[in-house]
Amino acid sequence: MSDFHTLHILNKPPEHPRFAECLGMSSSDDALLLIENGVLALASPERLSDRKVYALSPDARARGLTASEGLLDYTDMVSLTLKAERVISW
Amino acid sequence: MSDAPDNTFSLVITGAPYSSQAPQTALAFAKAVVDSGHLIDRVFLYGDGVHLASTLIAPPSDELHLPHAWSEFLTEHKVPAVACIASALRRGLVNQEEQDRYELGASNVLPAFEIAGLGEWVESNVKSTRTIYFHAGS
Repeated sequence: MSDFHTLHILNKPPEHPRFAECLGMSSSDDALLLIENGVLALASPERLSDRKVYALSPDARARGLTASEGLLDYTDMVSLTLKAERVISW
Repeated sequence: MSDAPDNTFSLVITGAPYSSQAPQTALAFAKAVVDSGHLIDRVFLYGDGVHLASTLIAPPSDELHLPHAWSEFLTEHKVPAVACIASALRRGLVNQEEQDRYELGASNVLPAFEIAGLGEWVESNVKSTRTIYFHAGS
């Protein structure tokens, strides 16, 4: 059984048009995984409320950012892709 | 879908080494797939991702050599890697066969990679539990 419908892997910084597009296309049944420059969104988390948000911990740490929850390593990322019914990389 | 050990992954890398983080993220992901007991069916390089297969990349010695790091991983785990021929020829990435065909001055594909059409990608897509794309970040 899937925990959520679609996993959105978002590697674009918040000012990239795809970032807003991704948030617009994802529903509350979906999960969002921030990787690479996508983790910059952790600096303004209010934009991300109302959905399951995860972030790749090595990418967050490399950019001096942290989160109170949802930080994953690559092994967690692998498990997450298997829990979703669909995976979209933006 | 359960987290059973018989899951297979296909990875598609479309971001170039050094100008995007895609090959680096994909390599860390690929290592985690193997460490978790899953299989990688194939790795595909498409668009600017084909630069990863070049023998002519020479980063400073204190930086990660991505083409070599990927080659080691592919060889160690016997994972086939395919660079899209249409993307490769346009970007100056050619093997011996294409060098001869187009009468070019050199060939530059690392042995861990092959140049081929993406027909195998369709097959792999069907076979794999998951296909994960690694794109450039901007």
